[in-house]
Amino acid sequence: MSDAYDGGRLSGTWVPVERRWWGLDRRSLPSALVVAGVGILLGGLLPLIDRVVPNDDTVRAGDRLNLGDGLTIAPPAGWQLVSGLRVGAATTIPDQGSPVAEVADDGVVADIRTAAFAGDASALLDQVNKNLTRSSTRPQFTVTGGRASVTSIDGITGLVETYTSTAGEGLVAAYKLADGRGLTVEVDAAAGGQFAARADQVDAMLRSVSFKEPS
Amino acid sequence: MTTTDAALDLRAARAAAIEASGWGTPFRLVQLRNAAFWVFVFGMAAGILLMIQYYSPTLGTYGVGLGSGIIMFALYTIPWLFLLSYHNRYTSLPPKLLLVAALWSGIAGTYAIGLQANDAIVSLYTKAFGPAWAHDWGPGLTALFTEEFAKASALILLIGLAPRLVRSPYDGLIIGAFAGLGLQISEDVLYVVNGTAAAFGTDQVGTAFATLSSRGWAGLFQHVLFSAVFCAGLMWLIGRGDRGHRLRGLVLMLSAMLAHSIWDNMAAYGYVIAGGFGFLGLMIVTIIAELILLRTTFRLAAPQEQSWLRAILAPEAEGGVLTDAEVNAAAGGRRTRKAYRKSVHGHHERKTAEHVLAAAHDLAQELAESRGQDTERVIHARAEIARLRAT
Repeated sequence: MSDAYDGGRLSGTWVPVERRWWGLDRRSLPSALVVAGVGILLGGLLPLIDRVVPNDDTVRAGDRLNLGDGLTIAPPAGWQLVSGLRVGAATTIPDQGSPVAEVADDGVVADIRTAAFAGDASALLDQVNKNLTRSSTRPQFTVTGGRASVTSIDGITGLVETYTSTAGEGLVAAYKLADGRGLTVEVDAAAGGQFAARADQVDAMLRSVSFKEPS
Repeated sequence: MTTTDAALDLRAARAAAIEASGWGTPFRLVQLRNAAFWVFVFGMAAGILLMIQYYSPTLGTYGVGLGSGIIMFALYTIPWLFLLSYHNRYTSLPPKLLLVAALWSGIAGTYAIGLQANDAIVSLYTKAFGPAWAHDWGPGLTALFTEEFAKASALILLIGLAPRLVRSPYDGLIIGAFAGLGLQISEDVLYVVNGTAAAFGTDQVGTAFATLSSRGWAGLFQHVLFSAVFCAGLMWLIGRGDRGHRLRGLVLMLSAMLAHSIWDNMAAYGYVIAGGFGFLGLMIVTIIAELILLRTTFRLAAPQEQSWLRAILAPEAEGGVLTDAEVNAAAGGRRTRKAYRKSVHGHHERKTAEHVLAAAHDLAQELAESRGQDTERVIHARAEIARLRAT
């Protein structure tokens, strides 16, 4: 007499016909659906909700962005603050700044960042140009015109260059601070004409850089 | 040898333990009739696509940083693999299954789930409560949901792919740890590239090293630990393990989420609690609490695995291959094994005893794979124990 066949090792992997749904093992559906649900909710739905919820944080006249350790800049009034902290923002730890900030207005984006940098403003501008030339975010990045200097309200002299690319046009400004940090402001306009229309606002922003070493 | 009722009982208990633990069941990733396999395929494809999309625009600019980060964190992963493999004991899980957990979490979990959701939620917080609030509290009230669920999705996926293998909270703990490691390494490399960009692309190798220095030690108390505890808790919550411990599971999951939140908002929480000294103080307290939490989870999860292993080996004591003390030690935790080693006198005898315990585990694994049958490999594993005793 032989024992009844118990399915052996195959019993765990062979899917009996009555357990199939459109060819798939019904028992695998709960885990698959949970994981797919988590993925769709977190990876798909939330970004979609974020995209449809409008950003309404308009920069008012007199607002300054705190870039940390005494460095501030005044973005153009009327633009949207995408990221960054205002001077006087109610942070838990007082006087917190953010070394990265972004303001935007109708397709024109200003990206502001500060970090330690060993060279001078000219070397920093060279570095940013090198980065943008190698990056595919600004295809065929070409500097137009020469390097101009810009002096801020605090007497900090920066260097400015304009550029064009197949993705748009803009400018890069670079400053070197007394505490060893570098500061860059990249303004990029996706469509022609938008940049020129905001040239005065951008110029005022570049002249608004202020640095007071914390006591 | 006469077959007594006791021996039959022991063999029945062995068969039940092999069945309950699922130990020895081969793991196959490619299962065309398994819906979890197709979710894995689509999730990984989305993750790879989004990962390429994230890095490719600035590859020419920050490629050195990216490459350095990958090399440095690949080396950093090696000791982790030794540590986690050491803990993948008792009715151990197949390495291929653990690799799937780490890959899912590191690619799909990081790029298709975590990164997308984190950016969206912090952005929504900023829109709702303002930049200052989002700066202080946003990260620590985001990742505890997004990243813990992203990592735990590896465990749920593996329950779908290998329901017979993923049976106990200890399995959840180990799978969670590997899923945590996958996400942590991916996130570390991402931080290297972001750090390089923040530093204007200068000294990219130095930035990668600075990231390794700062995040490397902190990683000991972060993702691997969070998701090991979270996933062990999840197994109790969904009733895979000793029944009746759903509340325990929920408490463990919430504890892991709380630890995650504290790490991500350490500066703000610390300042609120104790001002300028709060950061350091809170970090020390959190690390101590996390180690206690991890130890507790281990101690709660191990007994089930130990009882399975004991049941698988028990007939060998009946048959004279092992002694009862050896079965207990081979199926026991670190302390039990240590106590057993100490009870053996003489350097040579102690060494032999250690080898016998390791060989006993080999035998248990062979028995699990043969479903208790005396195959050639099982007979060889028994012969190995006899050989070790004779040396």
